[in-house]
Amino acid sequence: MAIVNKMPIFHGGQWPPADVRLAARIFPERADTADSALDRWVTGWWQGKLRTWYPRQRERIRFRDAVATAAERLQLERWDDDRLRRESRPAANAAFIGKDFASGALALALVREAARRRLGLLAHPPQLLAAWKLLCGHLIEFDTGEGKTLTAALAACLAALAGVPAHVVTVNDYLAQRDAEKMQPLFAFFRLSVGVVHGGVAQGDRASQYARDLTYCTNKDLVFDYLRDRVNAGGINSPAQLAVRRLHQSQRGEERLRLRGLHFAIVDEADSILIDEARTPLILSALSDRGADRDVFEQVLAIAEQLQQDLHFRLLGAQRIPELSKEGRLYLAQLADDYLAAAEFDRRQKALDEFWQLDWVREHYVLQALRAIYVYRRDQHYVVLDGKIVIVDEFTGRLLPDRSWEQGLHQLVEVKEGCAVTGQNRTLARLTYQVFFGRYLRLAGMSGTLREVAAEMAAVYRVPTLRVEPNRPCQRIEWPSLLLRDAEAKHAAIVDEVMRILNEGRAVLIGTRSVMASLAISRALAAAGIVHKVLNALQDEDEASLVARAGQPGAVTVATNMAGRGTDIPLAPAVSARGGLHVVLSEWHESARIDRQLFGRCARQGDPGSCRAIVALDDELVRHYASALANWTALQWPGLPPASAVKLLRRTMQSKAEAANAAQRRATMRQDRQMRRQLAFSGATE
Amino acid sequence: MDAGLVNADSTLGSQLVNSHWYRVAGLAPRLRDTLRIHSQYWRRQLWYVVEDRINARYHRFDRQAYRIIRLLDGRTTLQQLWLRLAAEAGEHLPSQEEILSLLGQLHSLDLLATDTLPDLAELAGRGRSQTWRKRAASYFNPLAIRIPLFDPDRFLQRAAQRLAPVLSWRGAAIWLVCVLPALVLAASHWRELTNNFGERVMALDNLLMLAVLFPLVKILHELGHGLACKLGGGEVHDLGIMLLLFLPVPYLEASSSWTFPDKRARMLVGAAGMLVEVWLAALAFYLWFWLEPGMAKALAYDVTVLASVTTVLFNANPLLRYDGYYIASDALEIPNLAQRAGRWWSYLFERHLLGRRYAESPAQAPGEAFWFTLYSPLSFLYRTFVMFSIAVFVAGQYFAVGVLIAVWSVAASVALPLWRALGWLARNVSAGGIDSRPRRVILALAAGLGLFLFALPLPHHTQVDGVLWLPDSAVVRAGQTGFAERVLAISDSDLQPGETILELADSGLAAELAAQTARTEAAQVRYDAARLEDPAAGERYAAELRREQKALAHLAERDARLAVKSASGGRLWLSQSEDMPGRHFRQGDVLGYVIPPAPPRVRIIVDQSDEALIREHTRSVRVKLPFAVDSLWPATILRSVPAASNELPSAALGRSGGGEIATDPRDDSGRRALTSHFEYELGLPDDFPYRLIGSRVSVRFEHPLEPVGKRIWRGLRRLFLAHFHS
Repeated sequence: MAIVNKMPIFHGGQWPPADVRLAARIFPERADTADSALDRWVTGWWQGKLRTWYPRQRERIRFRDAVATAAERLQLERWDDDRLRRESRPAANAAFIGKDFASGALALALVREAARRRLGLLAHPPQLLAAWKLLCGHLIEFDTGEGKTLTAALAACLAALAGVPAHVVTVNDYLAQRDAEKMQPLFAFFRLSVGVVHGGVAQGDRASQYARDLTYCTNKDLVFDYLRDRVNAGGINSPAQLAVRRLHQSQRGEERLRLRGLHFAIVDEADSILIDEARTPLILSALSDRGADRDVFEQVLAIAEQLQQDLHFRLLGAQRIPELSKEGRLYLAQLADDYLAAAEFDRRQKALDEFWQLDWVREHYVLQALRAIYVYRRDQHYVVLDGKIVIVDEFTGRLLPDRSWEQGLHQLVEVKEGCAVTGQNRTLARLTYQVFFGRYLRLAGMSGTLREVAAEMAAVYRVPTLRVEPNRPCQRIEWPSLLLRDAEAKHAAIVDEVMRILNEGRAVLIGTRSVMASLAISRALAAAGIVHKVLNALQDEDEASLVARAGQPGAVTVATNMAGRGTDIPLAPAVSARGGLHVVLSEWHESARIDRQLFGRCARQGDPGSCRAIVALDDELVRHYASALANWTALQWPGLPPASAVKLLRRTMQSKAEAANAAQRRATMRQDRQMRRQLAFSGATE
Repeated sequence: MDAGLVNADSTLGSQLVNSHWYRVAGLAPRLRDTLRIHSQYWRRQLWYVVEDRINARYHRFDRQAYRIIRLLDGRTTLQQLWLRLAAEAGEHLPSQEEILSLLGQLHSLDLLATDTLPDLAELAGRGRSQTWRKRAASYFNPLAIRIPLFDPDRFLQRAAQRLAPVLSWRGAAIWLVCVLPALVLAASHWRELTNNFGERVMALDNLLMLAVLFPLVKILHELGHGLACKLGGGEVHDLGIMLLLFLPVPYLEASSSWTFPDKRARMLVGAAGMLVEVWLAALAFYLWFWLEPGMAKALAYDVTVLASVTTVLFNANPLLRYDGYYIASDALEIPNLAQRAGRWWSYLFERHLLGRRYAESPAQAPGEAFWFTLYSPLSFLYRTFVMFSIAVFVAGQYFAVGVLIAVWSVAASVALPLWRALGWLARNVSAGGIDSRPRRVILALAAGLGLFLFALPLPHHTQVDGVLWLPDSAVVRAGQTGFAERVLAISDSDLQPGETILELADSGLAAELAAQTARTEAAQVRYDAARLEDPAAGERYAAELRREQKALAHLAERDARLAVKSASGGRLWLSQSEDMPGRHFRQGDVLGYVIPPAPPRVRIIVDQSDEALIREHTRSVRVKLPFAVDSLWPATILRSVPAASNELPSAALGRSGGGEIATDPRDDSGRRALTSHFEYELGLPDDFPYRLIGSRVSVRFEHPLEPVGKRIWRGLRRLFLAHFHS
């Protein structure tokens, strides 16, 4: 645990930078800013909207030339490995800490040479520019298939060479493991140790993984490890305090700190981590002592089932939040009176008594039960696997096996599905992504789809966004969207489309929004006798291999929208010759960004490819956000609506959904700030 | 650690449970040691005043808050505290969020002590933001930049002891004896006191005098509070200066009176300052009354005005947050009246418009709701009104300063609350999701307001003063000075043009005429004789004759004018036809009118700024008589003078004649306006009643229907344009 203070002494500058205000915590991290909403708005506009797309062609060319001249002048090919290693540390130091342009070009030339030798990959100019910008703390919009893995590795390598612990943050376990392994030879060249942290890594190993020079990790594991550290520190605010406590308590059973501080992070798929997942805070919790009482939950559920909608309760708004009416509350009070009168002399069941006696407990649990019955749906919000409730991530469609809902909801859902009832969780700490990533001393990220959220990124994380043009022009062809009347027609159209593509000898990938949708499409395909693979939350073990095979001739793959994200779909030569992979988007997502991510699955790295949206007027999101316009469209064009109408519908639906999500993120953040202010007396806990 | 992960959903959890509760559930905070708690009854409800003896600050909490506060003993954890509250039967259970917000409030008031290390960064940040907020509050509230000077407690203690014999019913009697006669005298000298008030008070040299006097008067006012507070057993530790519109004004911190259990004692503390001032005003009034004009008298006048007007206008008024407010709050037994009234209104809005049935009413005792409903809008309107009146009053004298005050007061009393309200609404809109009721209601209200302001056409009119006017030919004037001899026509009869109405007699003129006739005849004789004898000499006499004839003709014409004739046909109206014979009239005196069969005309003058509107957008014109308010007469525009002029058609329209238009005081006729106007002549219907020629009438121009917003915009533009152009 001595790692905390083991910071190298730098020659070319100071790390942590002098102009960053550090938080008074156990390890280096940036202090939370208390800027006003106006500040954020102005920064967002300035950095996100006005500066982002300002043409920087000159800088691009200058950097490319600088790297090329550095490589030529020094004749890097002739250097032996030792010399490369020796020279790269000071260059990396000056490049990362001092953000020095010439050193940056030199350092990248050196690392590129190393990558060429060990990985056999020659980074092309856009990748080098992107890596340089990552080092400087930018978000890079980089078209899919442009080699983000290598770019991130180059930047992380330089940061690690500069002696700064670097975190490469990915969206899932597979990617963290794969990227780390793939880039291992490069890091090994520089004698840098690489740590990997994902769901499969035991808690005991994590400290040693984070102690390595650089660490590949998933976003959720990273945040939870940070939270665990914070909880373990328990109000200790500086390394000195920690040392004093050690002295007094002589290490009895104390857990090691995992992280070494929040120095530098490169966030892959930055928009989905920093924006999409930032809607809900992350909560670290422990199983509570109080045993689960199945009887209580069964009774609550039974009562909730008796209640009549619109008489005893209502479901409010798009989120269908249940609310008890006066009648409902009276009815519950009546039931409680009856119960208490009957159970006057039977005081064995303490939990049941508490439930019946206290108005608020009763109403609270009944409301949760209503949620369990009417709001949360099987195969959409959760699946049942091996007699356990497993939550499905709303965005990625992935299973989240170790997550549970709060405040009795999880137990009620378990009772509803007839599963074994687990214990309730007690919150230990909670944190939003906005706050967490804002604490990095330097934050960088990449994604194929950032332009829509540049302003929000600048406002919330104070990171500018830049677009780096691809090396090879994209050959994707987007076919006109089809907007159909209902799900049935949509499925028929998808089957038609698949048949047509298969006849051409190509491969098809069908993206769906939820597990349920993927099952429905799978049924339709099966009915038409089409052999296909389904890739959804229910079987995500061989995800990568399934995705890897999706480029074979005649392959039909149905996948929830982000399954296997980050994995290239290699095209068989036969497929490539006939027009590549065809992607079918079966339902518009909440933002055009996610649609583009799905379309990005085809036509990567200059491959050919095509895509098309085949959607229906009764898709869930359309119904939610643009039902009036959908009805009008249906009336106006009984057949296929024209492209302009389809576009209008999509724009309307997505802008409304985006606005609602943005509002929710703002609300999360505001609530967080407000609570932090209000609960200042409780100490600097999370 | 056995840690699982929870998927949080921000919509989860009912109102009672707060997802941040875990952070404090295990804490056992307690109140700081130096606090003292006093209980009071307000409207039979218990309230608690927490006295912070270190900072000399006082905080009032209601019973619900106190139920929580009393459990903060340093041993009970918040989780235990909440469960204990939940177990208290028949009581309202505060939600976790309410408890958290109360604790946050206690913390920010420095009333809380915990064993954990507080969030130092937050503390520092809070310190900064508090200083900023305080400063911002003082900039936006012109009444709050405070600079403490010294601790007057011991001085006041001694003063209270010295003055003990007077600070009793005896003092009250002396006060009455001083003030009551002054009131009576002031009423009888009202004109003298108020004449030309604005110019007297706002003259530059007088302003300087006021600036010196004002703090002196107010220091006595504050000492009054201090004495009363000491009398009730309180402590006063802070006397200082605050800047009121950049003017230093003393203040005194007498909030220890909050702890007095007797509301009359509290009210006395609130009223003491005004009692002192009114007494001072009475004394100064006597001085003013007895003194000869001069510097001393002016001083006495200023003191009287300061100590009475400012007291009545500001301090005594419960609608502004000065002494009167605290007195009223004590008298009505409604603590924190203003804040709770504000909360009451937002509660009404939330509950009835947004349909939040969980919204909690701030009204706790019967009768409070009534006062809350009344107080907020009244005080808002009054505050705005006072601010604007001051601004307008000052702008009359010093335009730039007036506008500055107006902008400032609009920012402080309208824009800032509006901004906060908008923020609150925006949060409501964004919080509720895409089709929540709050969102719908607020958007509907906004749309409604927008429609009302910019789309709903409403009747629109301009009102100007005019004067009923007759052509000159209709006025019967004495053509020549003389005594009335014979009235030939009777009043109310119809006359033809040229008919004689009255004969005047002027014996002097008659004699003069006779003498001149004789002289002329003599000249004629002389001329005739001379012509026959010597034509050359005849020429000389001819000139004389012509001279005499001319004089005679002039006299004859004057004589003819003694017969007063009607210049036009119409109905005669003589002012005093019965007692006319024998009376003396001077040339030009109006004797009566011959009112033509056609109706009179109305001459109006229109301000330049209204001119375009009247000329281009008039649907109809209505005339109203001052003595017959109910009846409206239609009118038509007959003639408009195309050029602007300063000349008024009648003095009755000018301010010196009782009208609205400011006239040049250097001009005696009262017909020279300060700004130029356009003149219009309106025709009236035939059945218009004929009385009071020359009287003022009010004329109403009906314009096409127009939304209010457009009008406000035009008015604002005009206000500024008018000022910068003239």
